[in-house]
Amino acid sequence: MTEPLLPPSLLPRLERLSIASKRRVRGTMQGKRRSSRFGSSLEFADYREYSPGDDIRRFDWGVYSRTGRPFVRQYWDEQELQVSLYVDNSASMDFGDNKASGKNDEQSGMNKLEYAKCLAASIGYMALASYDRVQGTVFSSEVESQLPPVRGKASAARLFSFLQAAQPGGLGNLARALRQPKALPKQPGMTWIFSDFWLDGGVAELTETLSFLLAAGQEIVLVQVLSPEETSPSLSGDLRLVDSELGTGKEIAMTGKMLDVYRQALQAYQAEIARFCSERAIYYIQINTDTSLETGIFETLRGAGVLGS
Amino acid sequence: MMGFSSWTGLWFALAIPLIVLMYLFKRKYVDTLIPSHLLWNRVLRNIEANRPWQKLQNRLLLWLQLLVAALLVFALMMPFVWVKGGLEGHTVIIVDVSASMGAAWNGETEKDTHSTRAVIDELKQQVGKYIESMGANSEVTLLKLGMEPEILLTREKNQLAIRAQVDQLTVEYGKAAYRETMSLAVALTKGDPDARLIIFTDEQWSEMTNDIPLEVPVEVVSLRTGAANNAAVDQFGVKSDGEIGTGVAVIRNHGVSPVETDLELFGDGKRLAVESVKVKNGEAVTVTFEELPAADFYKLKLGLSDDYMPDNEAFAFRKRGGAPSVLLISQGNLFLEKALQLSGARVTRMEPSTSTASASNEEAAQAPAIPKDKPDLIIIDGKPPAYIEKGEWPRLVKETPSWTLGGDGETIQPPNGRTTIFQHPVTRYISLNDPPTGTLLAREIPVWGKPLIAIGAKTAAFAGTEGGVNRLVFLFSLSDGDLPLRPEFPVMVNNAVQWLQAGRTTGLGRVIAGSPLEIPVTAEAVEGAWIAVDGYAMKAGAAPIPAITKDQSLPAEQTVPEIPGLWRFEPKGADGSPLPGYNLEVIAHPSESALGQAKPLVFGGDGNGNSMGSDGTPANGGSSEISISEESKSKRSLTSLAVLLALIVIITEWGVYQRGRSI
Repeated sequence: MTEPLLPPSLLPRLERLSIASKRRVRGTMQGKRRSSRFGSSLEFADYREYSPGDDIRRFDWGVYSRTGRPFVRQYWDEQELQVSLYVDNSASMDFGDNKASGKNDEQSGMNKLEYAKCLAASIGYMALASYDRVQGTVFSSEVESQLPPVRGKASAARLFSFLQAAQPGGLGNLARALRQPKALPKQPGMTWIFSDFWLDGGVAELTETLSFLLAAGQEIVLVQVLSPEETSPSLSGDLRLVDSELGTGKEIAMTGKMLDVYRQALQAYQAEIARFCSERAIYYIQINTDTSLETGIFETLRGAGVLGS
Repeated sequence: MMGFSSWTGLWFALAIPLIVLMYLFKRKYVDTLIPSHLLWNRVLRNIEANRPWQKLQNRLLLWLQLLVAALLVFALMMPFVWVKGGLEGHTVIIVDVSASMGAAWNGETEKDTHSTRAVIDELKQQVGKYIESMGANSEVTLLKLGMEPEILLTREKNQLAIRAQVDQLTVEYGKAAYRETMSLAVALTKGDPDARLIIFTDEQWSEMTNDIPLEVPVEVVSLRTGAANNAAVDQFGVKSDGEIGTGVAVIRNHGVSPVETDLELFGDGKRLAVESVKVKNGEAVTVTFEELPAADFYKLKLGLSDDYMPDNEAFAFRKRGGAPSVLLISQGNLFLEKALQLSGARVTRMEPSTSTASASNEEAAQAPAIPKDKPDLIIIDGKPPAYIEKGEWPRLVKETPSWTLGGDGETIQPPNGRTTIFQHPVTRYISLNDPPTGTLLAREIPVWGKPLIAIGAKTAAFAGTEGGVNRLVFLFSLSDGDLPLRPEFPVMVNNAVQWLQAGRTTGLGRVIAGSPLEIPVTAEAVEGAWIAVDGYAMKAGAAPIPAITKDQSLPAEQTVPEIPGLWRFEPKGADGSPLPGYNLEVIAHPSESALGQAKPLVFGGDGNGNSMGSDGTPANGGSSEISISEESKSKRSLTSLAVLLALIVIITEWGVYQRGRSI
């Protein structure tokens, strides 16, 4: 038995959190989310005069007794939120563990995929705890495996084991993977994509993919998981940089200037994504694997406004 | 069979270990796995955008190695360039040391003879430059063009030896042997396909060159100076009439601009007259100096300094004034005596002998004393008297110009034929149409004798200078023909007296430097020396030159000094006592004065009979070479240069490895 994906101590705290969706959701199943429709929740919405065919159970006898007029109480429908979790398991995600960086402390020991899995599990657990529907997809250049929508806290174990099973490897291609019909969520909802977003096509590939998701009625949250090696590489000397996915090498004499230029390129790339996301009302969160999971969830994600209590 | 034309290529082998070394030391790139190249691509693109040559640098090694390969190919092609003037093979260098080479180089006006840069200095420099370009296998024959051609070096390979010889060159003022030298050069290069001629000259040649056949390429390195200025004393003479003399000088301007200068006339070192002259360029002016007091020698000096100094002074010697005194040893010849008197001579007649029948030893005892006043010339008419070979007489006869008419000995009948009169001062204005005599003495003509009159193939009269003394010999007696009755006779006698006493000056006259001269040396003289007395030679500080001696005596024929100026020949007796000497003016060859009038040299046809000019026409004005055939250029190999470049490139590659610019 492998280690649990999330430390058990984290679960109660996660339960107190919920995913803050900006929109009223419309689902098919009863959930905890207030729908844009009237429905069967306990939340009162309005009164309206009875018309034949209305549910007799909603007839307000008290009003009728006092006024003699038939009124029907209307409640907001409460529906579930469909949360789709996409986790990138391409080879580039297999970075950031202490093997490579040489660091030995507990928190930064996770590689990016582990970290992304934990985040996805946390979000999934949060959603399950608030009676939302959760489906999971692990992808690289194809959809590797999919978890059909699950509900309820009882399904958390299933979600966890699904995520746990994802292994790094293969070429990453977000566009190819998510543009397949089966990969797109069937219902409007919220889509979380956990990836490092090292896309060959760059931002163009990302925007194309995201527009498909937007068209599918998704509220999108991009979580870019990066390792410290990537945000501030500590490379030096004459190196032949080998791409983990393509296997090709580039010979570079690493200098301080090179690293400066790299950092500028990273910032420019992130700024590019951020600009696109803000134009489309997409959440874009960057998390470094050297931040602890708790900090990542309770501060970074919450700070971004995607989580509410 | 395979062969290597050059082992120099082996040097390329050095490149092999170098390349191997570089691969040994090629920097290692540590493989580092990174998630993605996405950002690094951008980084590199940024850097490349900033530095355009990064793209090239990316493949710098490739380029460098391509360059090395190209250089190797280049080297294997054994490239060479034509180097003009470079010496290869056998080069005959002719250096012109004629008098005009002593002129100032490029019009640097000569102020001080010792410090001015002369054309010959430029020549030494130019030859030096040529020698520097000598190839390893090239040989140089150094031929001096002076008074006579002289081979200074033969097939010399040592640059230092050649340079040493060239540095020793001095100007020679005599008549330069232009054609002779060229002829020698042609002979030296005959049948030598590798040979070539280089002539370093100012192109001022007084002899024709365009008919000299040359079989080898010739190059003329012209040292012609631009605007040369030279004024010269062309002629100068002083004619004495009693104690008063009249000087006549011709000043010629050989230069390119008019000259205005003072003429100073000195007599025995004292200034006698100054005259100012203006001479247009290319013209001559005659200046006359009247009423000059008597002096042993006169000196005329141009007041200006020009490019060529040796011709700025001239000397003249006073002729001894008065009528010549003639000692006539004759039985009596009225016509001759009258003719002599007509010529203005003071005649003293002596009988050869009164008693013909007396014993010879008695005669000898009665030999008359020689005249107290030394006669200016002796005329012996008929059979010479016996006493003439006794006592002081032989010496007197030897030192005095003489005219012998007839004499004793075998006589022959002159052959039939035309009577010919030869050009001579004595035969001036004379025309003899029929033989002047019926009998001729059968006598050999001495080497010094030049025929004056010939009847048929037989010489009837001759004249010449024997030991510096003029002699006139008629091989017939006047009484044997009708010569004295002819109207030309007094003219001829006058001519003869004039000519015989022509040497009666205080000096030996004007002689071109280095030429031979017969000097009337006395028998006692055993040694002698030439001493510079005045003029260019003295200014140049010429040392005394010992005279030529032969068998402990001074031969009459001496070589005059080689530096222009006034010289004095001072003979000495056996006991070291000085004997009467002679002044002599030595001049540079007059043709050398014509500075700035030189025409480009043209040489005659080559082996095919074509003109040497590459285009068939003589090169003109200002071109330094007349003709340079292909062979006069030499090949300079570039192989070693290519090797050097290849090695430099390889070393540069090493630097690339070191810096790790190969991204």
